Amino acid sequence: MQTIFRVLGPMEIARDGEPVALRPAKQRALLAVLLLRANVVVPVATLVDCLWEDVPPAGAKGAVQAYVMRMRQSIGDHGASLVKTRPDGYVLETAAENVDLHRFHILVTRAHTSREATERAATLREAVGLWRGPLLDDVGGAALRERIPDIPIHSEARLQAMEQCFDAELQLGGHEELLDELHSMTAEHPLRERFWGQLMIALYRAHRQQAALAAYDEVSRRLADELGIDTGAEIRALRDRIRDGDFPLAPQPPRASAVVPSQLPADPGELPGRAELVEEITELLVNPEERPTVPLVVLTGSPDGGRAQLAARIAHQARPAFPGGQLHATLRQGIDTASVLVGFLHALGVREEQVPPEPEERTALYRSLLATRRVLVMLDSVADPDQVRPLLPGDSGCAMLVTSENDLRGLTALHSARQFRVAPPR
Amino acid sequence: MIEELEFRVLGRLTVTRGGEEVAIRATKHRVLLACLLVSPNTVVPVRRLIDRIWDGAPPEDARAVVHTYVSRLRATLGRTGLIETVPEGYRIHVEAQRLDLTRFRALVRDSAAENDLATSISLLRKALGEWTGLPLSDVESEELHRVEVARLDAEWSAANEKVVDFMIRSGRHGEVLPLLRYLVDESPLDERLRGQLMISLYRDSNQAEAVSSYHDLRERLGGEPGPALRGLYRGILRAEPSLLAPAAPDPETWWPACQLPSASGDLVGRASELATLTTDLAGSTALVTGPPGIGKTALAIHAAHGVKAAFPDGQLYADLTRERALPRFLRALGMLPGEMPAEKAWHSARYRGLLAGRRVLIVLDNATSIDQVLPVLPMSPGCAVIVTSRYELRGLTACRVRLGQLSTASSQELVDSVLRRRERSTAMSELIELCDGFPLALRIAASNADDESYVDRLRADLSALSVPGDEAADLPAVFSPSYEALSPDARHVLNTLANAHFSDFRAEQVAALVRTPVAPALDQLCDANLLQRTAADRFRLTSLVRRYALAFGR
Repeated sequence: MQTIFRVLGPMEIARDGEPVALRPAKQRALLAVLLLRANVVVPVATLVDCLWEDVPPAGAKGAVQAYVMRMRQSIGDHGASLVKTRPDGYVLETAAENVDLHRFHILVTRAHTSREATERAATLREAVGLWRGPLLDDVGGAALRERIPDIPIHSEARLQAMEQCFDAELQLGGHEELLDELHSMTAEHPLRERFWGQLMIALYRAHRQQAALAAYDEVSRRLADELGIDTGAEIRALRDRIRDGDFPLAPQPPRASAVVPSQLPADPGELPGRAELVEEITELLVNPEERPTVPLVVLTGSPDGGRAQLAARIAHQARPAFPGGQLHATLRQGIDTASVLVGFLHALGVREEQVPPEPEERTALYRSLLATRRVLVMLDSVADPDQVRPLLPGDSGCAMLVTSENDLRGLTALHSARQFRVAPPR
Repeated sequence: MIEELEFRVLGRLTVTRGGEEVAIRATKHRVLLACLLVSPNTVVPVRRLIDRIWDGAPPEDARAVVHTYVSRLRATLGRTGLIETVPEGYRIHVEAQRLDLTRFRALVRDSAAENDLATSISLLRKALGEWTGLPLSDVESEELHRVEVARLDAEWSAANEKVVDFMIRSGRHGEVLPLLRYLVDESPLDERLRGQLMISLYRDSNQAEAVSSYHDLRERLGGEPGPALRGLYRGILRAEPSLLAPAAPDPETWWPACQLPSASGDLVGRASELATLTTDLAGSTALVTGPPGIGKTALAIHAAHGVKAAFPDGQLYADLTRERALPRFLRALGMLPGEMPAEKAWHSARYRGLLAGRRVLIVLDNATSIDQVLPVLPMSPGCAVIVTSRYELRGLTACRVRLGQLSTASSQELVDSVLRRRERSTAMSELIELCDGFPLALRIAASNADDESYVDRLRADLSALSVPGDEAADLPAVFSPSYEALSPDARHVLNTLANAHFSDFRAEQVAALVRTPVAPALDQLCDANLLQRTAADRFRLTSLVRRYALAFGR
């Protein structure tokens, strides 16, 4: 005896191959929520929130219990073997394969792990094909659907799977076949640049360069009109290459991503009495005044003043603004900056044999790599300014945070560093 | 053989033997077992058990009751030695493999020891797979949920955060989005998660949602989020390419070289020079000259950053006092060591070949002779060169920009920018006057100005224009190579001029003081920009150069 549930579109229930009708709205909504979170206990409170707008009636908990009983009967779950009662709520226990939504997620995950483009494309196509319409299309009205958790998350996952599916199919040379689908996806989701980018590539490869450029103009107009923003860097670069005829007609293997370094010392957490200072310095590193200089902040003071901790805290606070990575080194007297550079170059993806022998050349390569990323560089226990200079990024998208026992005002003089003396907090 | 017991706490509390559930029905027995299992193989004090079982309202004989419960539990589980009685409390003995919590923790530990991010990610995912629901959701104890379960939840969050972080760091932002959306939904005010969602969306070409996600947070907070998120948001609005996932370095194509150092801060009082330098730069060579410490490098770097967008194939930079430019530039343009021509004479030809048809900006800092510059000139219309030199480099065909001293107003502005405040005082006016319009002197003096006696020291001793322990911020040290390179005659003339306190003079006035031929010496001093020729036969000596010669001249 097996019950199959479909939620990717109108809700469908099939028991041993036979369709099962479930009409009462509250029972449908109840089942929907349990299906979305299959195999996880859904607290009664969550169910109450989903079933009643604003203020639930007195005795809502009891009502939920009654709905569950009736729903079990409707779907023929007589021994409560599917929908189980738990002390804190209800859980629908079933194999993930029996609910199309969970099968969809399994397929997407499988696609991510497959290296072969053909297999990837086929798996994603199958996953996308499970969708017969919007999630739980015929369950409740809009108000109820808004209260059901997770619906937006799963709907986004569908669009994303489509994007990934189109990527894989473009990779296999399927641009002609994709054109119709891409046209309708861009019409339905005019603010998702990925679909537009794919449409541009498909048009360009179908020898319709002008149409590809017109598609770019369309998305850029939409983004400007509706959100007041420009197009993203990726699609803009794509436009430039298509305009210059510099985009490969034949599909290319995708470029591997570099691993982003994350070398910060542990986050000490909130530092009592330092919140304002942390905020002020984070601001200096992240949102410098408009100038071409790399933001450079020096924290000086004796080691027991807590400068290292303060620096670590600031670096962690600033971290989200530096998605290109975070580099960290402890220098001290006598540590050779050139060897620190080698470590940094490795962390940025440079292989052993590619590391230049000369210190100046290492710095040059380091600056080249940092010019295209937003990286926070943190140097602890610096002895003198000359240890800092070869490690200072060249591009103002990066920032540097230095701690030192010594006064490093030379950096203030020549590199407009901001120096803070850190005394132990009162 | 009796089959081993298996326990689960990361979800419902379950005990199974050979796949069959061992039912533990009594509410308080369940709390007791849960309490012991969340601290496996560790002594759990009786006091804690009492707290959890009765939620702070224990009966009088609680200890004895706990003991009874333990005995009943032992009987239900049917294994001796499982729950051990020790003087302070009880301890449950569970093999690491037979409890989901210990398996979870072991996998998390393994993932931390792993260097390869992909392996770490799969270990963490396996660890998170041990979770089957909200931990101990069917165990009724407020205290247990408030303390122990909250701690387990934190471990779950931390493991998820790590997965998200590792996935984004290895370029798998698209794959991690569903999880991130879920986590942000659960903790909508967590700025770190929000930042991870925003960057992943941006990298997944979903700028629109990245922006609206920020707006959503701003609305929830009723104000602006912290600085880091604001910075990220600004970058996304500007669609900065540096926010995209960095591509792995490709040994075949090399990187576009972007070797420019950071600009040194505000460029003050050089607007017209900057305009001259950056106008119509492509296809030409520009030369910035002037005395040491006058800000040549600062101007060149500033200009180079300003125009770099016009040179998308790269920006090369070399400080010629430290290195030979050509071999390094060849490597930066993608030449492998094995391909380097053995004959040095061929280097230049190869270099020009590599630059043909490209748009590259080349900055040659601190040239001392024209011979250092000529082999590195590219001869391509899309390329441009900026050279800085303290010498005039006669014979070099270039658009020349000669830098002189800053006006008093500009000097004041520069000092203000280093101090980051406006300060008008007699001491400050004197400090500015003593620096004589040399930006390097002004920067050093301003960074020393916090010391009240500084102006007195500066008046008395030129060495005060230095920062102890920093050779780059030391005006006499910067002047010294120019002075040392002078011929004995030129040095003698300079010393004589300084001793005579000349500042504005004619050649014949000098001739009256020295016996050696004056004209070649004056030419050399002008070439080195230690003297300025203001008219055909008029010269000017700046007070800083004069003070240098007086203090250090031999």
